Amino acid sequence: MEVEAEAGEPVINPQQDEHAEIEAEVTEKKNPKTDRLLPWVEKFRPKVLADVVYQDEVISPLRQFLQAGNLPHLLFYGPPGTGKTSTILALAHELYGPDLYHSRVMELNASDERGINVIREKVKVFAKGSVTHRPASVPPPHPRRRRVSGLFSGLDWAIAGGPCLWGGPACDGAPRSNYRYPAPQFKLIVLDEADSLTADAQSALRRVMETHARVTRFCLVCNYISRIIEPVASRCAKFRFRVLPPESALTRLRAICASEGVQCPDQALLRSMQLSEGDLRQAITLLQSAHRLYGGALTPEMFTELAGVVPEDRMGLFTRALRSNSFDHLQRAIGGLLADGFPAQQIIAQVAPTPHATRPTPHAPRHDRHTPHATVAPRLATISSHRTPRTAPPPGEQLLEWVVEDPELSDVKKADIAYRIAQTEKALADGASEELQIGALGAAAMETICLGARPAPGAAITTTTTVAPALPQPRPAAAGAPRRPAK
Amino acid sequence: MLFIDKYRPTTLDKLDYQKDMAQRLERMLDSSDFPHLLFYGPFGAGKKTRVSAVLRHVFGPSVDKLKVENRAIPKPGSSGTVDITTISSPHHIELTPSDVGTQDRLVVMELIKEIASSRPLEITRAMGGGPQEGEGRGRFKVVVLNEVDHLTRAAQHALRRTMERYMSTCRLILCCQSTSKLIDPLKSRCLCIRVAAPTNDEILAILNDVAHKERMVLPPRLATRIVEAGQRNLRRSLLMLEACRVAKYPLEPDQEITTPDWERFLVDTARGVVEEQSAQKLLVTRKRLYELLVNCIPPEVIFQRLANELLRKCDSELRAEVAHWAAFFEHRLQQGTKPIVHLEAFLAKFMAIYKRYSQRMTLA
Ligand SMILES: Nc1ncnc2c1ncn2[C@@H]1O[C@H](COP(=O)(O)OP(=O)(O)OP(=O)(O)O)[C@@H](O)[C@H]1O
Ligand SMILES: [Mg+2]
Repeated sequence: MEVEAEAGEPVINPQQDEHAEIEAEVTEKKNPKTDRLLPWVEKFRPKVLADVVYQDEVISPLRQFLQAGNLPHLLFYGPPGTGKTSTILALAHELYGPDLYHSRVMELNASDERGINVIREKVKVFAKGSVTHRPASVPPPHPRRRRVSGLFSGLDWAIAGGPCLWGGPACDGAPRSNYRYPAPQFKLIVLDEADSLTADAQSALRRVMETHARVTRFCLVCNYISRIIEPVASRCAKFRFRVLPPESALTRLRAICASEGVQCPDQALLRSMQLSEGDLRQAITLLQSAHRLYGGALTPEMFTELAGVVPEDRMGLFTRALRSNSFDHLQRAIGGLLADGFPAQQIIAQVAPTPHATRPTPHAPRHDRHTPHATVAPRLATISSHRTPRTAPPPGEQLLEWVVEDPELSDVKKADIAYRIAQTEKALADGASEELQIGALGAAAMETICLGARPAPGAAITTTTTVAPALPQPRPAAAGAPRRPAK
Repeated sequence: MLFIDKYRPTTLDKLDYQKDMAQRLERMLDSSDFPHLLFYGPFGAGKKTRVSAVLRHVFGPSVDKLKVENRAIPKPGSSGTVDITTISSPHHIELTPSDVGTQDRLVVMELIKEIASSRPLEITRAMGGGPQEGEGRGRFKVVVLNEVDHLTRAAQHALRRTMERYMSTCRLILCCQSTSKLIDPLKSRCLCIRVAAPTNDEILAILNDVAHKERMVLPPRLATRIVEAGQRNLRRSLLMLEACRVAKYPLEPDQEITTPDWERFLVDTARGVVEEQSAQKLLVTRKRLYELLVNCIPPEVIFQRLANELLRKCDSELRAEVAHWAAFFEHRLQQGTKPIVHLEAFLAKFMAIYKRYSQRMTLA
């Protein structure tokens, strides 16, 4: 009993820096005052694995590791806001408990200097205090705890991490403890945002992982697994975090509404998830913001307004302009959209047909190395089979879906527009001018739609795979234009 | 004092346009758990004005006690430093990390993390905080980052966890023109607020209002013309109004509206290209472009303007093709290091297209 009570008590390690203290506050929720200051995303960050929704394929194996008290190296990957960081933090807490958390877990993220040497040094120092010896960084036994540990015939389990039942040199033959946590014999190093590590640093990491394999486990967290070098990836058990389908987050969102006194019908909650494209963090932010901004009972429309999607009527102006075959008309429509602050990326995302809740899949091919928002590529993958089953499409997104679903447009035209969308997306990610890019895309799409290249059916897709941008075909002059040099 | 400074609204409720958004924002800021904010919108839409109004609403007048500081961040592994200017009050600090170019990651890693992780100064209370002292007001600080769309990828990555970790002590307000260049994880961490440029009607109303306050008579036709020329940019319109008054007072409905010299220069350049397509002309044009570049007109602005002018002047049949190449070469300009090369390549391409077309027209 007593031990139970104590386990929850934070032991502030004098050696911990201030960062850790704040983190302790954040994760342990001891301070109701700061709680009230915390934005909801942080306030409702899952504290235990059970709080993480939808990612069962990840959670259940992790739970087994937890029961076994052992872990392989881990690699978590998936789009933003799907629970990666939350899961590893929750796992670490369940593994070590509050007493040992700070001495056994080290988090390094992209805001830390992570050059090769730094990684090597930090990890070395951290890993060196092997947990079977008294590590310098473990908190000195709490006075009260010493009394308790006395119960176990002087076994200094605070150091060993509790006499566990799972073997390991320190707990051979030790009796079962009341320390509720497995507290295994290794330290955990979390490398969050690992996709921003350079390849060199990753190679160095591979050695470090091997050298300290007995006393440390690594958990790498990233958005794009393609950016982790193979030798490192292959040393880890890989866990893919999937985009959350709207329904999956309902229970969590409802719970938040209940505890914050928000009136929000399920329909509106679903809308918030659709608008955030399966990013629960964004959905929670939207929920909180809608509650604070509008108050009262929330409606789906409020979320739509808040999420910054281009409203249907505005998008309608644009699509009509595309059909008008008038360049001036088109330029006015585009100018208006941009002056109203709609980002080109958003306009494209809505132009590009989006199968429900698609974000860049973590399997995004290597070329997105430079395009973190390679939102179009995966969407285009589904463009030819446009019968993707969808649940109710998010508002706005059905608009230029006609690019794909319009029966009047031939497949060739669709493919041509799709190709141009992809080009534009890449250029935007490289920082090219929004106005020029959207202008060119619009002009090209307008030509394709209104005049159009009409090659013989069957010649379809192949034309678009050539490097040369399919310039307006009917004009003989254009055919003589020099081919665009291949990159 | 210029009109743009003199009539800049200072509080949320005084903002001239998008009033309902401002009011709602005010409500949200009244509870201290508001999320990180990201304001995005075109140049001159009033993001900065909005941010300072937000700060004033959260912390009260003490955010006006500004001090400008230069910070030197030591570069790891060398003796040099990265220097950046910050503007701060007791409650907030504002900086533009992209000022230091590719070293911006260092600024995020060292400076912003340090600011975010240090505990807030608990002096708001004593100083009276805001007029309506909300609980927790002043228990966190705000970091305002400008032009985040110019941040390198590495710097954006470095911001990610910092934004989550120190949320209880620090809120970020990010500003940028477009979110297209921001990585998804950053957008995921903020409430993104679009700030649209004021509409022509709104600008017209503001112009009339300023004229009224300045006790000047603004003929309606001149006002409309200024609005047209201002291209939905309030700052530009106000500057034009002021320039008109300097040029001629009392104002006349049809008096000339002065646009900046370099703009007129560009328009002339474009006209030249449409009039003659030849190697000599290209040489002449290059000189003109150089002249603009040495006068510190950003190459992408030159490109944009030039492309717009050429598009306007050429035959509608050519426009799609010209637009294509404009986008193509501007993309290269962004990735390359020598803007003049790409500007010239575009002009050469344009000349070729245009010449071929006019020859075909004369043949037909
Ligand atoms: N599966 C989930 N279950 C419960 N809450 C979640 C889940 N996914 C995200 N959240 C909510 O979103 C917030 C952010 O989640 P988290 O930090 O784990 O995302 P992430 O996957 O690490 O994203 P990023 O790639 O941007 O770092 C959490 O604080 C939590 O409120
Ligand atoms: Mg994360």
